[in-house]
Amino acid sequence: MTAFAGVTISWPALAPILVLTGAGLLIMLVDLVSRATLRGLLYGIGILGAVGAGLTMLPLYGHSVTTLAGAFASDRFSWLFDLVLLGSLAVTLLLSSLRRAEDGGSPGAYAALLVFAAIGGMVMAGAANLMIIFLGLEQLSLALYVLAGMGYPRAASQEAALKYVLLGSLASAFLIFGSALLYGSSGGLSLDAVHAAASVPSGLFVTGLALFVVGIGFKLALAPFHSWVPDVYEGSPLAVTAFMAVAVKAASLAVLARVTYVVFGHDTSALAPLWLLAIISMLVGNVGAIRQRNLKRLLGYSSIAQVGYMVVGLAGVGPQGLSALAFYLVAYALTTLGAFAVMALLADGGEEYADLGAYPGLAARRPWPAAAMALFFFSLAGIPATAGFYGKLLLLAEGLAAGPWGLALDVTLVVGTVVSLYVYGKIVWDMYSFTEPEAVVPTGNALPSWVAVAAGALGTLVLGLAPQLFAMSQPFLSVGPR
Amino acid sequence: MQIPPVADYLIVAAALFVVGVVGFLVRRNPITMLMAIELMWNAGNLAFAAFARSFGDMSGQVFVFIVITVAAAEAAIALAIVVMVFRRRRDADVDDISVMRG
Repeated sequence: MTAFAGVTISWPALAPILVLTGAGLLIMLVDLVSRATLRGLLYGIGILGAVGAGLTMLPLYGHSVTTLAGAFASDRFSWLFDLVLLGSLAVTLLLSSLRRAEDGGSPGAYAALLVFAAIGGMVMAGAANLMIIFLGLEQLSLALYVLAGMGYPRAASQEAALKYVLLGSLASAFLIFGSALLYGSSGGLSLDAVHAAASVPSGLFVTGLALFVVGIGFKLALAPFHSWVPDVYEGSPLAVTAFMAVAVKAASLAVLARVTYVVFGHDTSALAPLWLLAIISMLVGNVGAIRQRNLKRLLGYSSIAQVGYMVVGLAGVGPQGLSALAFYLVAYALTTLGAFAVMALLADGGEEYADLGAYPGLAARRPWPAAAMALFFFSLAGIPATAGFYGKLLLLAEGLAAGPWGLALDVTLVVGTVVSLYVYGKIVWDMYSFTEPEAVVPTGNALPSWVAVAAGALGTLVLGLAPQLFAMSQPFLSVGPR
Repeated sequence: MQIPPVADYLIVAAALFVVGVVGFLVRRNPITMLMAIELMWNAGNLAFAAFARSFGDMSGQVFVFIVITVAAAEAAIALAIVVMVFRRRRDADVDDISVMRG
């Protein structure tokens, strides 16, 4: 009972979330009173909200606090994930503005749900309490279940929504039961209480943690909990898939990283099962990508592998590993959003360029989008001079410092990279060959998607050519969640 | 009245959870699968309430209320999606719902 007395609230720390909530509510209000012609305005409010939330984070710099009775942390760690989430929200809204009436769904509901999903992700990024983790995760997931079905005139979108809601709720069930057992073993909901229980792990604690990791693993799509990814990624509307691929991964990784870091501290020896999941993910993701004919599906498999890579950052003990993870996450976000933006640009927001049959000879028809796509694929594969290359170097270094399991992770990372070189190289080869596409393909040229492509390409190149820019902000990252 | 020890509640909760998992795996009707998931969520609730009672701590009870609230929202969304799929297909067996391959 006493937990409710004397709770102090740090409003500045909550400001980014509050600003974004305001933007979401405003979208719903404007949607209520406006006619269909104001569609662009709705997405604009969302983008302004994302920018505004980013601005309210500026005065936070250097003032890490834990607020709401220790349940919500606003620190350097959560800010970075917040920025990734806000960036992916802005890009997704840009791409969504190309949606046509026949794509289904009300633009107001669509834009508001995207904003609320991003808020859920930000809550997860700062959650230092099992209850807040659950709340943030559900806000993110519930909004995305609906968004996955927002392309409902296509049967594939309906199917994606059904599969996502069934398997997502199953994952939440594991998370709830795991949280209950962790609570039972530690006597409190805060991660610090769970940390105290970790020093003498009971059967209850181990079972609870295992169920919790299974739940997060489902959301994060770590193999073998990835079965929903290909279908959901293929069926969901293009922009929603882009958001899923970046925001859901970022928020779930934030939870996983904070839980492992706070609960286990510098002793990660108990996390061997997690490393095993990462190894399986890297293999399943890259090998599964080989035979795909649909680019959204292929990027889904690729994202399974990329999450496996990022978990290697957790194997490195302490802040250094987190900063490697953060660098790779930023690189992954830039390239993945960029790749989806190119797809949206070429087809004017349609789904035609999800089919890999549309890519042969692309460089001759559309040289700049083809070059951007090649750059993003090179970064995903980890070719030097791109952000992905430096990110993989950082992760490999973390693996080397982490003992025998780290070595196994490193070897799998290299093997996975070789396989992915073939996967992406084949598409780039197709684009730069003088062949004709298999089907009639549209030629889109919309400004919003150009902005998104340019931002992604610029970020990928800058981080790839001058990674020391990010290294300069090392102090910004190296302080972990504690 | 003597209150049973927390372990008894935990056994019931674990049994509920396992029934839910098995139900999810063997049933092919999405509505039955959702009911199985609901059982699993409530298994967590029971465990939370039992632990909260034994600790004399309110936070576990609060978690139960939050789970109940979220479960209501989740059920509304899931049923709406099932209705959407049913309207197009006139049946809703998850094994038949597969236009995507690969």
